[in-house]
This record gives sequence, C-alpha cells and structure tokens, in this order.
Amino acid sequence: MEEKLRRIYIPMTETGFYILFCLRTENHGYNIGQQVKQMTGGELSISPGTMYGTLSKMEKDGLIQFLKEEDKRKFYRITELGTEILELEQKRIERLYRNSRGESIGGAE
Amino acid sequence: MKEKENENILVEKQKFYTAEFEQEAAWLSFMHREGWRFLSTDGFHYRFEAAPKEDWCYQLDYKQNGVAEDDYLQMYQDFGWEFAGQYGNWFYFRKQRTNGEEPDLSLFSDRESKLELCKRIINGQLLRILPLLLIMCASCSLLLLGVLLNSGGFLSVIIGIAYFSQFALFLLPIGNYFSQMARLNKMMKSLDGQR
Repeated sequence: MEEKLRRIYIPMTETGFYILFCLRTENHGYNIGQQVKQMTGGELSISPGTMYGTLSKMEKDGLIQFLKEEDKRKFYRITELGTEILELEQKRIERLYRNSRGESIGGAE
Repeated sequence: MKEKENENILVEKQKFYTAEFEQEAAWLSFMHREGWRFLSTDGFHYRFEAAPKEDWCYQLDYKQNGVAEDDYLQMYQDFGWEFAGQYGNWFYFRKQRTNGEEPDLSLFSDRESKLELCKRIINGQLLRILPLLLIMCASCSLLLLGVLLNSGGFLSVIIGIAYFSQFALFLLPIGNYFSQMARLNKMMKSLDGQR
C-alpha cells in the first residue's frame, strides 16, 4: 500500500471510518447516513456535504469504487485497497480500546 | 438598497466576498424569516420572492467544476436540503428548521470536511484569478521593455503612465483576492485549533 494513503487515512476520521465500514456492501450516500445514525444510536450524524466530499475523495484514492447510478443515486462498494486500510484501522481501534480498558497487548515487554 | 419590481419580487443589492459565505448564508436565512425567499443572485443583486415568514437555514457549498450533477443535487435532497440556486462555483441550499432539531444545521458535519471546503475555495479561486495574474505579468514586462527602449523620450512618459495605470486596474481584484485568501487561511487555522 502506498505510504501516502496510509498517512492520509490512518488514523481515520470517525466519519470516514463509518462510511468505509458501511461500504463493505454496496450502498449510496443517504443510506449510509441512515445506517450510521442507527448504528450509533443517533450520536453520529453525517451532513450531505461531508458525505459527498468523503465519497468523492475515497473514490479518487481508490478505496471505494463506483458501481452504478440508480434514480440519480451513486452506489459504491469498498475495493481491495479500501478493505486493507479498513482492517488496519480496525486493528488500531481495537488496540486503542483494549489499552483504554487497562489491558496490554501481549508481546514485547 | 431596495428596488421593488412588483409586490412579490424584491431585488436587493449586496456584496459578499469569497470568505464571507457564512455571513451570506446567515443573511439569506434572515431574509427568509422576514418573508423573502431567495431566488437567484448575480453576485451583486439578490432576487427574492414573497414567502411566508419561516425559519429556513441557508448554506453554501463550493464546487470546483461548477457543475451540479444529478447525483450531487439528489444527495442534498435526500438529506432534506433544497437546492436554491447557483452563482459560479457556489451552490445555495436551504432546509427548514423544525422544532426539536439541532440549531446548528450545517452541510458539513466535521472539522475535516469544513477544512476541505476552504481548500476547495482557495484552489478554485486561484484558477479564476490566474489569467488576470498572467496578463498583468505579461503586460508589465512588455511595458517595462518599452520604457527601457525609449528611455528619455516623450513616449516613455506615456508608457510610464500606462505602466502605473494598469496597476490601478489590476490592483483591486488582485488585492481583494489576496485579502480573501488570507481570511480563508485564518478560518482554516481556527478550524485546526479545534482539534
């Protein structure tokens, strides 16, 4: 993976993470927003400008791909590169979570 | 300054500079609360039509390609934002404020996307001012060459006057461009400070 993309996307913004996460299956902007609202119990609400900008940027960087346009809505899905970045980010968040609960990750002392 | 075309249409003269898009949005929201719904603008004149006095939130987006694609407008519409108009690279949206809704309605929900908006504006405006900068550079060097070749002559006085008067011509838009960019940079710095 390109070092540049890694620098841009890791750590990811909360919005970016949820959008990428929701694109493991094909999805479009508004639906992603609804899903995120539901997942987070309404705590994270993504505005349309943020959604549009993030999707355009992720498509340009090759993290997601455009699939089709239906009723003027663009459907996207995560790419291999996107999955790679999402997994790295998931691992990072998991470590953060476990450390924050006082657990330490095994290995080097 | 107000001009009334007829009872239902109001044309108001206003000038908002590049970095004042938030003030512009606030003013349009204010006008709507006063019973004037925004119709269109050419950058100096704003056209409104009479409408019920309601609480609508206006917001501006900036698109570098200046084109409102179907999927772009549909996305905003899905999120409840009505497309209200376009002026150049600026896109105007409005959404009615309902009771119980957070007072801070925005097209951009996080710091990063607000920063991205500022970057888009800075890059887009640079492209717009670039031809003017190039023309100024070219004509400066041509005039300078003219002065050097005609040193001392009557012609050089005329060229000298032309040389300085072209500065006056270009100074206003270019000076305005740089002052707006400085304001946008300041906005970005304060956004960065919210980390």
